Amino acid sequence: MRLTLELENFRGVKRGSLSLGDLNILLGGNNSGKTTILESLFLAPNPLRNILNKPAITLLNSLHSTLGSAANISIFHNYSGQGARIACAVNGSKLEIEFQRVGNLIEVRVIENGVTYLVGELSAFDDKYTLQNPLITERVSEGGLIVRKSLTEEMSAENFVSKAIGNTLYFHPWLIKDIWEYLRDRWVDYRAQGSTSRIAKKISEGITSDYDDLLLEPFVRGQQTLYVRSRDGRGVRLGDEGSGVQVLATLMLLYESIKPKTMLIDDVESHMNPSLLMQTTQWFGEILGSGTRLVISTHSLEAAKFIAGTLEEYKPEIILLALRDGILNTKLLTLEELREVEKAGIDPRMAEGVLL
Amino acid sequence: MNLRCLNQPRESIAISLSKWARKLKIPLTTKQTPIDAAIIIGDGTPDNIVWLILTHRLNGKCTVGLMKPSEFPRFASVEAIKTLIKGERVENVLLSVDQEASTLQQIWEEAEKSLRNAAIEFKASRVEGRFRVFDCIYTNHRFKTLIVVNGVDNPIYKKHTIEDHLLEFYKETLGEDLNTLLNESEEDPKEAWRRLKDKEEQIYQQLLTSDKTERIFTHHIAALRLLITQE
Repeated sequence: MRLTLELENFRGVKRGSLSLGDLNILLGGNNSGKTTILESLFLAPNPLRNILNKPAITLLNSLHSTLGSAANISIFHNYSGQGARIACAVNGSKLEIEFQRVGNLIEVRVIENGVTYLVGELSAFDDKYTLQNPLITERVSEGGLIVRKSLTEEMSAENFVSKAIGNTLYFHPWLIKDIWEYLRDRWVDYRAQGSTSRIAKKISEGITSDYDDLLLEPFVRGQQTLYVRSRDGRGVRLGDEGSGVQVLATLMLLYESIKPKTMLIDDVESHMNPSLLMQTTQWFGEILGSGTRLVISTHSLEAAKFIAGTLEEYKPEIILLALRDGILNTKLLTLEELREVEKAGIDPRMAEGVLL
Repeated sequence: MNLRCLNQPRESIAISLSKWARKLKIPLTTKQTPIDAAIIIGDGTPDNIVWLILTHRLNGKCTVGLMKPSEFPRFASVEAIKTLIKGERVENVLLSVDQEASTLQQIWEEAEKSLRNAAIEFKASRVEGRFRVFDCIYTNHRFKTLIVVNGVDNPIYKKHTIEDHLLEFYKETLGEDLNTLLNESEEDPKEAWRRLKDKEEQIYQQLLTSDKTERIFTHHIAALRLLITQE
């Protein structure tokens, strides 16, 4: 099922749209809109839903907080304007997210198939937020007045997820500490389901060592840490096994925990050597096979070509992006077209100057 | 026998190997594990797929590396053997080359000339039509070089490549007539194989299980068995 995405005044993008298939690989230079697209899709099911123990918007703010400068105003392109909008359409269903500036506040609404939900308010000049519990629906009366109605207590801003797009999950290596804290709280589930052992064995296929389990146990002074256990019973902190292994193990655990309908991965290949990239690609095949849409960004042509070529059956779409004056330009490339660009002597990552 | 691709993931040979391993449900080793022997192929695809299938058919836990040197066509890839041998781990190397339009006599002369030019001492210890084993020494390293020449001795092919074997297999297993296909392809086995693109998955699947595989790829299988023994 195709998903179309439209953005207005959202983060790096003043205006732009994009169409996505099952497997999407975003290519482009720095500040070309890749991360903005991933973040918009992460917020789309409801920017204030609780995910990884925090509202989705707060997680993103933490990624952008240069020198601790997190503030919700950064949702708006160039930190200005009165509103921002994310719109999605999938399988006949429509979804819109509206961020509306009202003084020092930003109201957040989810509009799904014609029903408007007010899910909360953000403080414009810091990263504080107020959740609307229970949710409020809004409609315009015949006289032009906005009529508000509270929903039942079960419909809270924390657990409301758009039915149109389902849950989405964004992975960025900088979120790894937030993710581990989240995983720690749910460890019993992973043990009970056998996920830890399954994942330890899977990551072993891409590295030298052989692991048979992931453990959450004390390290020093009672502080807990995540270990990988080798077949001889010794444990090594996951963090000591290299960034690539950490990323893959964390991604796999997180995926098993949340089972998102769309998985969004930023800088997928960073810290991965070819063996681990191959192993990761095999795992991508598994999650695509279970019906999850995959949108990944990369600066690596090697990763783009290998993932697209291996998972050809999912009709991979390589999307070249460029931002000019905030306007998003896109060009869809097949693997074959990517090769033609290379044969012409052009690095596809720099082809936006020619193709867009 | 597990296969591990040694080429870069961005190269076509690695991509197509990974794609077909998924399609055929053959585990491709991604583990960073030492390799026990190596296969060097002169051509990319379908050679890599054939070796993927043949190695999978043979049992055993050993890991065999597959590589296609980018710089060295045909017997010039003898140079790549030297790189492998310097690692002091690989003792047997299998070189798979297409016969093309040469005679077998010319091919073996070319093979021996290439070994000599690479300063590798050699002595043939097994000589068959399309398969030879050379006991080699290079800077005090002793190793075996196994060479398989792809092609079927059938005059209907204008030149001889690994596609000859695939086409023969297609004819025998699916009972198809090759004459029309080859006529349309000007007797070029590569072109004839390209025309079978819609059937290639079916053919590969059959190749995995058919008892005809061992006969049509006799030398390839014999070389693989020898590759992992310490004889």
